[in-house]
Amino acid sequence: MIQNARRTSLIHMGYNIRMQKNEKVIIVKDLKKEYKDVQALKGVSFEVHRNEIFGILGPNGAGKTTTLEIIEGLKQQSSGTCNVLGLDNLTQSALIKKRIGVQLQSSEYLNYLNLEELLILFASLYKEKIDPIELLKHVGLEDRGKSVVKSLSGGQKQRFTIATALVHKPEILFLDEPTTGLDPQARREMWDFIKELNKQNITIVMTTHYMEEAEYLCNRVAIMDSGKILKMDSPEGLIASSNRLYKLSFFVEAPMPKDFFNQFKSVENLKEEYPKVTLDLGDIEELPAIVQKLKSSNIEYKFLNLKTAKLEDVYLHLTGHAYSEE
Amino acid sequence: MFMSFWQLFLTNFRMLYRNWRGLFFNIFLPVFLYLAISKISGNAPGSNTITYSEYLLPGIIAMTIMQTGIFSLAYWLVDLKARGVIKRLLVTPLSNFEMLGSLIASRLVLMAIQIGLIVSIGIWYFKTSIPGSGLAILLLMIMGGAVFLGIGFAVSSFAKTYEEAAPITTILNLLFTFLGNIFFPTNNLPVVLKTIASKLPVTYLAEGMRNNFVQEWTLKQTLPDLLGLGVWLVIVMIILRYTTKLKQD
Repeated sequence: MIQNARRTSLIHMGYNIRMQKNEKVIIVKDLKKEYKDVQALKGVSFEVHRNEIFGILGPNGAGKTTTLEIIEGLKQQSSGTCNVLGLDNLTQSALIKKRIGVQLQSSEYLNYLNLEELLILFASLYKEKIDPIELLKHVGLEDRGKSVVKSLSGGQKQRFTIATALVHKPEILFLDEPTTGLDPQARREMWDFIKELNKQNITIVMTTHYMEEAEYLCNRVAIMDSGKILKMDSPEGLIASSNRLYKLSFFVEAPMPKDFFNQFKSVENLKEEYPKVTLDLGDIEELPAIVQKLKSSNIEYKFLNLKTAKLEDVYLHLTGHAYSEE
Repeated sequence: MFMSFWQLFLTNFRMLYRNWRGLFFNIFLPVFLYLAISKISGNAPGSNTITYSEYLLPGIIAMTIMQTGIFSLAYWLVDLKARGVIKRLLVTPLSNFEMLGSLIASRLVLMAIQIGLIVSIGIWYFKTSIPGSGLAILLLMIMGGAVFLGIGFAVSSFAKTYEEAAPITTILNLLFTFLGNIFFPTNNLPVVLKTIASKLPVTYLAEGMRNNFVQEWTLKQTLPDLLGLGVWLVIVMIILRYTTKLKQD
């Protein structure tokens, strides 16, 4: 019901079909950012297509926010190029800002102003006149127009922050860790809200360090660490490209022979923490053979559990390697 | 451009008048100080013809301009920067000119209200007359406002947090209030202090206005004080040129 109302209000607000299939709305090439003694970005390249949800995933300090801030015009790169909606970020930053919406990590606002006044103010910065109630309705805050930001809950605050980024009907919306600090229910609501925005043809670029969030929301994900993109694909593609497609675990009655898994080529990341055994299995065809060998070796086992690998497993695998390279 | 400038100006003003504590310190405290000190005092120091309320009026105006310029702007900007609000504004197409211009304009209007209130009390309640040049007083106020707003900007550039801004503004306030000819003349101070006092921007402002408030002073006679403020304005602008940075590296 609420989602339908939001969709209707978005259409009323003028979001129309601007989509061109596979149109590249952001092209980042070999982006580097150096500070005095730190290289924050070490050659980042990616493209974002119109109407997709593109996620940048990585631990704190990976370079996610720096990348976004360069695209948004808050920072300048040391080298490399960044093109947004056909505009160069260094020479046409003002034009880019008119066509993008930004939600920063911090959701602080000017004190003593209510939500309606803040929305009118933000619209005026884009030379737009808006009906603040209409926009608040769109984010489910129509009854809080006269409230101040301080009185909102975490989820409401984040929704309002996104509303301030929508005052000028942007083509691309940047969300920097939009659900950090939210409780699980508010996080779920925010995910639905982001999906709904995307359905209205708003391209979304977001950073997150929640794997589940990236898996649920993003069409494509770039995994970043130490200023580099380690891998980029759809969440399913990233999982499929990993040779750790399944996670197998079981409990044993006695410690297992050390060379038990040697013959199974797709077994990786074996952990024997008696009585629990866990391993990554790249080839599901090997499972019956493993079970057969357990039986034939008279190894008592129970609670055999097989799970499909998740994005988190790929992420940990990739960033784990990255850390060990440092 | 006017739309965002006007909305930001309105916003700044709303934030000023909705902040009751700020309003107390910005409006009521200077008025209360002026009323209280004038009521309990007799003649101005070293004078049988000028009352202390007449002597104090330009001093209180200078103090108000100084404090509004330095305190309200420096703390305001430091707070907005520390909370990430400036960053949020910088991702919009808002120009630096609009942002800084609206901040300055709202402070100038606040100063005008403060001064208007204090001068009105002086004229109607203490029967003070202004025999000097009105134009000179107006120019002094504008120049003084510009200098102290500039100092406020400079403080906000040096200080990243409230804790860093507080000691800087306290030292400046102490220096300017006690050596700036606001409450008492600095003639009897030791030579070094007297020399320092004579070169302070608040001294040029307070003395320039006092000459016009209590004597038949002309614009031409006020030129040295205006020149003194002009030199300070240039110094402050040069400092701002190298220190003010809204955008990040």
